[in-house]
Amino acid sequence: MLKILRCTASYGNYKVFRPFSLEVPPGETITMAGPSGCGKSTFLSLLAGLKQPDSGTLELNNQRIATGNLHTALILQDYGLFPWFTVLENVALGLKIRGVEKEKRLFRARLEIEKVGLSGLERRYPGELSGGQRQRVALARSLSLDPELLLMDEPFSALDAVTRESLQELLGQILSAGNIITLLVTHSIEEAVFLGKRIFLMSRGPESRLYEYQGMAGERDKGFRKDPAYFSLCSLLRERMEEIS
Amino acid sequence: MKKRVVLILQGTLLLLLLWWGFSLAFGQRLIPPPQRVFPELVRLLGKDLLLHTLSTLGRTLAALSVSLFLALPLGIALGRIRWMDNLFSPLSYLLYPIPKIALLPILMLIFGITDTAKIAVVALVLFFQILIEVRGSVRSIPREYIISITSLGASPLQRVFYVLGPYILPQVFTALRIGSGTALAVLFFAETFFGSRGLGFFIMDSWMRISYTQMFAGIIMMALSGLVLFLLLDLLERLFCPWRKVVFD
Repeated sequence: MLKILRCTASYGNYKVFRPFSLEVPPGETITMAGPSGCGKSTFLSLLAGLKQPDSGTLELNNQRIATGNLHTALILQDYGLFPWFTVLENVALGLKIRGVEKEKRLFRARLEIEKVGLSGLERRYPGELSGGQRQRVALARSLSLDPELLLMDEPFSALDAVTRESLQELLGQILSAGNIITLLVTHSIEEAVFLGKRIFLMSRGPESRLYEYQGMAGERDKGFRKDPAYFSLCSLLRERMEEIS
Repeated sequence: MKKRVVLILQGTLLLLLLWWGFSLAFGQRLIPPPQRVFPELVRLLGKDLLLHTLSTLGRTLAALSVSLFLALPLGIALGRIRWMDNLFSPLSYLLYPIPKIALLPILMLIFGITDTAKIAVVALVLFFQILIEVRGSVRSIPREYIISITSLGASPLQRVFYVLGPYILPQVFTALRIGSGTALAVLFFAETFFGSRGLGFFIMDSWMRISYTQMFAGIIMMALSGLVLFLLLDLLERLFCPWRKVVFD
């Protein structure tokens, strides 16, 4: 369980958001959308333990969130992979840092690489992969750590539409099978609706507010995108977004 | 790689043509043509030219190693640790522009008329070049890399080994490549200054003996030494930075 209680954060005198509280049970994916500069990334930094809140508490399974929390995995839009490591080394790096012995970590890394559909590319370098393949590697690395909390900052924003959708579907499938609490930050309403069990809109800062919406149930597959309910939720949220930003 | 070899051969051919042209223009006594210099070069290699070349190369490699060994850790520290940077960087900016070759007499007082003095003056020049390059490249590391490795739970030492080191390595090689040219230039001067071994000595000695053909043979060996250093650094970079093949090929 992820518990956030009356949390605030600031940069100097700039107050990023109003105090807010949030609870997310295991296995749930929440998504967050909002205009640039609303504080989405700050929110993510708090959860990743990279920034300290001014007030309030953040707890993951009754433990305060701190820097270098081994139960949290983070996926960024870019630069998340290290160009000097091969796909296999990149995926196994987190396990290596945690002191998992070589045979075990390579076995696990190969398993996760297979899960994201990149078998056969283990020895390539990130520079030899497409943008979509790179994010699959980033996903495999995160999953190899068995995280309790998975944080993603605009993970698919740099990808073309087709690649983005296939990765969203892959992510949806993987997450629905696991017990990971996932928070995905995006500027795309469609992505937020597609992946979120709950969807949060954040208003423009300073002192942004969070607005919560119920997401849709059901399998995240191709059919999901054709559901009229999906369209109407997207357009509803788009209207709300225009009002608050 | 094959392409590179062809390009180098092309360049060599062009250079020989130019040289031959100059020789025709200025007279064979002043600028001996290639066809006279190369037989002489082969003959001299059988005597002591090879020894002079090897001692110049050896000194350059020693100076490169010493300066790298000292400047690399210090450069990383300056790039990462604020108080060290505040303490040492103003100092390095003050010392950097001083022509280190001017310190050769002092180094001779400290180390005597020895190889060590020659290596020290070259290392001193390279030290500041590498230091400034390393510090700069450490500072230019994208924040995302640091966030990414930190979120994986890496200790500060692991961050240096897994991220910082590999990130700056290609730039270190660039610094060494630029440095190898500077090193040969400084060393040439130091070798003409004292001692009786090294290409600097050989070239100036031939000049004083008015043996221009031998002098040119020395100059060619100097150029080849530079080329060997360059190729060696290329080879090492390919070995240590295999991911760069994406960029190279």
